[in-house]
Amino acid sequence: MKKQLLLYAALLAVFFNAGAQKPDTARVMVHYKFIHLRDTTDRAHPYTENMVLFVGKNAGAYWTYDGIVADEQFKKAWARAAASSPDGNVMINRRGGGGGLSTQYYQYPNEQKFFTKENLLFNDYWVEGPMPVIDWKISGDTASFGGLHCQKATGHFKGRDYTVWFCPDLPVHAGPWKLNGLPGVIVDAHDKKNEVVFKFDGVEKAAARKSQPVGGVNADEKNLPPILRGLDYDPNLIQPPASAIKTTEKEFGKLKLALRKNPEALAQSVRAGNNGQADAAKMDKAVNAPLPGPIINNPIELPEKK
Amino acid sequence: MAAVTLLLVVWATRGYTQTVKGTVKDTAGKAIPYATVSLKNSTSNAIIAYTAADNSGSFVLHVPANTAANSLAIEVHSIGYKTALKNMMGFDAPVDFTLTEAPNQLQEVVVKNSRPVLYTNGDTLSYTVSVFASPQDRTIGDVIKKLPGITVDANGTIRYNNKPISALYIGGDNLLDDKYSIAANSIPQGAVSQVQVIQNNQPIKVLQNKVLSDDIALNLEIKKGAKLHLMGQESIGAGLPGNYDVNLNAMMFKDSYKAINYLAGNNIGYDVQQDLVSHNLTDYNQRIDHALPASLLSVGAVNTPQLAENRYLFNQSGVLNLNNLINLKNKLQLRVNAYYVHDKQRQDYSQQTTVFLPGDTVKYSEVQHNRSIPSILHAQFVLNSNRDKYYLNDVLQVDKKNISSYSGLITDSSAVGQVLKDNTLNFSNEFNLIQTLKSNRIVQAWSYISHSAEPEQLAISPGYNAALFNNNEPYAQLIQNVNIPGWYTNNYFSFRIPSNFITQSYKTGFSVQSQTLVSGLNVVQNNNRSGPGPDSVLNHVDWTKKKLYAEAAYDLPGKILKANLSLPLGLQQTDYADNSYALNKSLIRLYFNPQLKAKYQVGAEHYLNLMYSYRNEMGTIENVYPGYILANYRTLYANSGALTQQQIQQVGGGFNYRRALVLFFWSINALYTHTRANNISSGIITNNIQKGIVLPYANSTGSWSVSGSISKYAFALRTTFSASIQWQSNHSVQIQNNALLPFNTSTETYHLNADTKLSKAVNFSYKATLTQTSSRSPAEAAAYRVGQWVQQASVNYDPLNYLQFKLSGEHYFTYQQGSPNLKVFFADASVKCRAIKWKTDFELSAVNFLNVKTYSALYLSANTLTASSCTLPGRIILFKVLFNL
Repeated sequence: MKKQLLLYAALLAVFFNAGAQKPDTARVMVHYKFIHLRDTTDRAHPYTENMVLFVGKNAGAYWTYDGIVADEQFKKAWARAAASSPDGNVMINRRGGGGGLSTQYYQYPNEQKFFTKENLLFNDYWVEGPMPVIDWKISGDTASFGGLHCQKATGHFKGRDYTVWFCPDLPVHAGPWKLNGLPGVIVDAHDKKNEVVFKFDGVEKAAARKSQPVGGVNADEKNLPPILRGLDYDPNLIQPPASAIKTTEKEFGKLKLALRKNPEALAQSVRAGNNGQADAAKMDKAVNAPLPGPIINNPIELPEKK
Repeated sequence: MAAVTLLLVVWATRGYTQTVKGTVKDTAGKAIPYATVSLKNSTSNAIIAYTAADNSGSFVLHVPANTAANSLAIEVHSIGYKTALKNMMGFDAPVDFTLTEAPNQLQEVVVKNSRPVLYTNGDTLSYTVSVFASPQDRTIGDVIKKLPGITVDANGTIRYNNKPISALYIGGDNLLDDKYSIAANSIPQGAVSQVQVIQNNQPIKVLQNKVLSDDIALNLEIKKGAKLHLMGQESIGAGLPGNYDVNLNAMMFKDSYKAINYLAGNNIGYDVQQDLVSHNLTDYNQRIDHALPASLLSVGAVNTPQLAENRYLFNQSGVLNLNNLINLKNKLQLRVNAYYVHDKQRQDYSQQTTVFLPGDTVKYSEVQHNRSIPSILHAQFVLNSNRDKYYLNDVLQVDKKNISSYSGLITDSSAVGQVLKDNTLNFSNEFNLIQTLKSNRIVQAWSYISHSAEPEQLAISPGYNAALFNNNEPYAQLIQNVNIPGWYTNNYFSFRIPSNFITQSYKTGFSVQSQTLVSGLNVVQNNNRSGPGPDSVLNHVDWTKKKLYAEAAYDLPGKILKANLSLPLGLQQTDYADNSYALNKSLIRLYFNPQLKAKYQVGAEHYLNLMYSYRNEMGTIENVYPGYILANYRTLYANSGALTQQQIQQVGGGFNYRRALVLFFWSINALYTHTRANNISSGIITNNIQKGIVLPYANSTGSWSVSGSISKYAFALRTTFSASIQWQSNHSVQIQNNALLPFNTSTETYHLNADTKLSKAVNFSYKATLTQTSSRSPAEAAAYRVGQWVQQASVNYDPLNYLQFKLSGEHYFTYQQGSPNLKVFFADASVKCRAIKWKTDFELSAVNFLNVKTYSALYLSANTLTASSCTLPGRIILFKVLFNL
């Protein structure tokens, strides 16, 4: 019970601790092919996912691109199904939850702030973490990535030696994942063993979103069926998500631990936090299911060898 | 904030001793917070340190230790403002920036997902091979041809921005010296990840950053997977009419062991010696200060057709080529390069030569059937150790060449047979030791020794030109023998004092050349008795040339200005004698041959280069023999006995431009050569013999050459475009038939090339060359002009991954004033089918399927016009099986 109280307190505290990060609009999207050798016994099949970094005037947001595309496709499929359904009852199946990697990374280099947006059960959390500091060594190598003039740098971060290419013409000190701190956007990165690779996959100017909101222009998201919620985001806006619960890395760590140790209690509290709106049966299923996951014997972040 | 502090702590511990402060404001004077401030090296344009302005727009930039302020620039970037750059004057004054607004700064960024095709690092450019390669490219040479900024001559010489490369390394190792066509034409392109261009390549580690080198080297970066195992691309082909083409090779590119070994043979016109060309022979001869005497005899002045060699060559060649390199543990490298070539070459041609003389025109015609059987053995052993403080290189070479040539000839209605036997045996050893002493000075000992001999015998029968050779009596055979056996050695010791700005080198040494020229022209009478021919046809010249020299050289290996000045002074004594002509001469001369080379880096990637040299050159034993030698059936040649001395001055300069990241290259170069000589060769030409003799007549020759080249890769069209232009003009004097003839000859050459990867399935390439030569004598009003247009185009179509088609054509167009135009068109086609299961390719090709069997051309040099025509092999159908080891 004590633990539960503590959690409440923590969650409440972060609600009032309003963030200072001004909304920013993406100007450029840098695409990456993320390749991660999760299982060293199966080198032929590393994990891959298309990722994108939204670069604004003073911030960067790193998302799954596959997820955005999947959401977009689902919206289209829904619209088609709705249009062809005479009685307004739409039958649609959605496989998977969108993209593979749900965590989004936000870097505010000017203020030296770093956040991740995590999804746990049915809530989004806006988690503040320490801004990673990497002691980069800049080399004289230059190359052109998709027409961008880039320079090479190397640095050590979380147990791996990274070689990265950054673009001084995009003077935001951001990069994919947690990599940052060079005088330009990091457009390509890989570790020395090629086990973690953020491979440059293109750059494009961020364009305004064209697609219609899924429930119509004036629909309130709260009135939509759960399957349609959370689709009408504009990834070009780099800002703390309105619905996310602000917390710290430490508190979020506790929450994750609590989920693992006492899923029932956590589910209760989360349900309470959502005004009892979450579907109880679904929640139970989510909570009781064993946490699935691929074999990861080679995480991105390795312990530092002493 | 803790992070920033940490950053500062990290910096402080890394030896940043100086700081630069400043502010960033907009045009209204308002601070621009968080702008990126980068410290750049103003020559390489690379960032070396950086920081961000704080929220009041001021910044503190930490400058790494040991950097001079004047080589630095500060650049400020902020989104929404124009980028500003200021050169740094010193560390004390604050550097303040005012940025102007540029709201649409990022508009120009467009969707692109291309991986970089080219990486640069200082002097090194790296091309990604897979971007430029297409499925029908077999060897890396096929890909190198398409790289923007790189061109490949017809003989295989590779040029980067119009400058020939010095070497082609494989994984950093020098396996082949300047015989790099072996690698270009055998390494599969799939095994190479990158082609790197290394500018200012100084391969000797001891001398790096101390002695200027403007050499350009190429390095092939072998893929990791390809390094591990034995590789081979085998092909066996057979076809009509009676054709074969076999190539079996085995290659290995480990770090410790590298090898290219192959056995090949064909009779489809591919000359196996084409791969064995030494591309930098002139440089080598200049370095050792000695050139082997050229062959003196030949079976006729055959003009080789100006076609690709495989269009006209009748051959039956075979080659075994072994190149092996081992890196031993103690940084010692052993290398063996050896080859054996055997060939039977056939050539049928007819030729009409016209020599225009004042008031007279000499014409003669020739019809020849030639057969040449070369058998060539070359072996070279190299021991090398290239360390930071120590360099050792020893090269031992042996060459044995036997060439038998047979020629049936009809000239102005008389028929003769010629047999030429030419047997060369050469050996040489070059030793080079460089060592850095404790005092940081560098000492070098260098020694070269060689022996050469080339007995030649030309037999002409029956009874050719009896009027001249046998007092109008019929006779059986004319036999000309020549041999110039000789020793040569050159040795020096040098001492170098490097310092921060300049490297001084002092060198002293000596060279000795000792040669004997023995020749005789014998007439074999009809009764088989043999005796000497007409007067003055014997030679026995003893020749020694001794040289003592000292040289001071200064190298400025700076980053912006590189320069090299060498001031050699030599005392040379030349003695030569032929007792039967009462010739006994001795000549002592003091020579000063200064040379200056400079390279000025105008920008990060652009430079100017300048050179000046003054050189004294002395004739060789081949310019002093007093008795006549029958060089070929219609040329008798002798000298006056006086030694030719030449003073050669050269001035040159050029500009080299590259923007590597957009793959744009251009260069322009000009060179003027002025040669003054105390002798002139004079000729008397008649319808059946040409007599040459050297006369003491001071004369000078001037030659201008200007060349420009441009190359660009168009990303949107996936096409490499390149073009070049060359103009050359010569002013010289000749004495022919006792008349002094000044001549102006000028040649212009234009090249145009486009190579495109239209899509994954379709490739297209087009190449055009226009060469125009004109020649005129101020004494005569008329000018002679000959031109040739060559166009080549090919289309590759690969509809499926197991099916490839290729169609190509070559068009030659020759024009000359007052003569009908000549046109030749060749067309080739091939289809290749891959049996994926068997990992084997089957290829059916038809070369010259329009079956063109003769070739005619015009050649113009000074006042000689030659119209020649020769027989071509015609259509060749070949079926080939190709597989990999």
